[in-house]
Amino acid sequence: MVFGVQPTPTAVKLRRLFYMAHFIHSHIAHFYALASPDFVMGPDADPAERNILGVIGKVGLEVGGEVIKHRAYAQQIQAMLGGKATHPAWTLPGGVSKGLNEEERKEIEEMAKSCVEFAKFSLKLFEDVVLKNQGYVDLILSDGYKLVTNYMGLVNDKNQVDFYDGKVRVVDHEGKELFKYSPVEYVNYIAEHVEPYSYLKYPYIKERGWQGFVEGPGTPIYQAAPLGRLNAADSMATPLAQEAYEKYLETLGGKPVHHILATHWARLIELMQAAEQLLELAQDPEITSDDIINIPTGTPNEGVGILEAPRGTLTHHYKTDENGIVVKANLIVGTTNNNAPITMAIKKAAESVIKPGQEITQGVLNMVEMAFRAYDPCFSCATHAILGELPLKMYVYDSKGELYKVLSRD
Amino acid sequence: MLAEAKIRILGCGNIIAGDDGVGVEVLHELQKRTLPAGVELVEAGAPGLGMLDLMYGARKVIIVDAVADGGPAGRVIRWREAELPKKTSRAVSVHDISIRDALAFGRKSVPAMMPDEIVVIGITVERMEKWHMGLSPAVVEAVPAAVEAVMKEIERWVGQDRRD
Repeated sequence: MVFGVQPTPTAVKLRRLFYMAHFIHSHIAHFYALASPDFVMGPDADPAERNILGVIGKVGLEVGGEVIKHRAYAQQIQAMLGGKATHPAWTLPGGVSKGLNEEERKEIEEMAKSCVEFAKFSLKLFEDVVLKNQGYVDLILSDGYKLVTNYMGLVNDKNQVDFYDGKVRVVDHEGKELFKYSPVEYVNYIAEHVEPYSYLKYPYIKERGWQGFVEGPGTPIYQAAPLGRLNAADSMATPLAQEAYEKYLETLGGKPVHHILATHWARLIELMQAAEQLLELAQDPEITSDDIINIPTGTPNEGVGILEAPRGTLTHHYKTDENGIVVKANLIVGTTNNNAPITMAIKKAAESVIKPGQEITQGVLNMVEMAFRAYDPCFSCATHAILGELPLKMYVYDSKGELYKVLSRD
Repeated sequence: MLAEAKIRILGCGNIIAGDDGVGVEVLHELQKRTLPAGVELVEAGAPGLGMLDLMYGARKVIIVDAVADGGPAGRVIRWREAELPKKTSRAVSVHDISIRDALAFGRKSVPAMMPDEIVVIGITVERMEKWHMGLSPAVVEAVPAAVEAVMKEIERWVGQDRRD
């Protein structure tokens, strides 16, 4: 802790409540807008139809309405607490700047109940659209979308999935615990490899040393985000999410799950946990207490904070001067953890769908993109201009190493 | 609450990505003005699908955003929803959808909760480098014109309201 002060119990609960709303907002967007078109419309459907508009055309306009409504709920909860949903200036060292009154609590409780129902619906939709289609189940279980690595996720003291606090647990390719560390210990366990062609580093398990992009026993590569979290934990923290988790493991052959397309299912199980925890917190008698901050009195110095971002374990390490001005910072953000796995997953998917003599179509490009998309990577989103570029291209080389074709999503 | 404003102005962009932050800068200038009741200014970040959450329940919406079309820097463009270029069908990021798709999704799924009218005020950018704060001179010069363009829309809508 940079400021040497712990938030009050109510402040922790309010921060958790805010964060569950954030998780719900993010996970709904990924599943419905990005993942579901591949399954509802089909991986090789016309790109003009393989989008959220195609999805609602097929599963019903009312589903689109529910998507927008629940994302708006999540945004409203964040705005209620943080003043604004985007870039809220609400969390302070030792607590938060604003609490909840009873009227707001009741409003959140109603929205949370609705989110739980929507999470149930989403899991059912996954079952109906994906699991009841043997072709999709085979695709999920296929070798082209399987990557055998270690897994990382934050867990509570019962080794249950925790999005907000706890210890980072890393398990090996067979699901055995390798180590568990507190945020401040992260440098003892995780190191980052640098390649000259990218500004994004490749984190790996320090004690194993960088061995290149290799999977299997002994690899130092680990995966974070929903698949990593569900593999690294022993169980979910809420009853309905746990029920869904058991079905997930039973269907996919037990832990650890190495099938990267199963990440979409894992994401919905997490949506369930976030919604259940949002409701639990909204019904907690302590949530409306006005004891929301411990004023820091010490001199700021250094601290490490870790939580689970929707896209993976997020580590922030800051060192400050005596005025609290940051003089040194190191961040390992969600997507960065998955940098090596994403690279490897794309290669495997490409090798599985591009065959000699085969025509390279938009469908093939999408099958490769599906490996990338499973990680919900946070690339190319730092700018937002209308007509801006999204530089996602596939270069296909022939067996002689000569460029054969370039495909993009234009 | 997000659902209460009649007219909502969404200032989009990232202030640490050079000219990409021009939408937010326009919003900051609008904050210095006295605006009619029922007008809400929202710092929107870089939303795609999230655009819908921010306009849910509003009657009129103005989106102020950077435009990277290779045109002269500082040009202020006004688009009505139907006039949004097709090229915006490209996603803003790999984990989001385009503004055009988002609006079409909203119009189909929750027509009653979508604004009656959406106007986009775009400002053509010069450079959008990451980790750079501040706008290039031509874009700075365009901010007052973009503010006036937004004010004109607000006045038009408030005038309509009075006549209704």
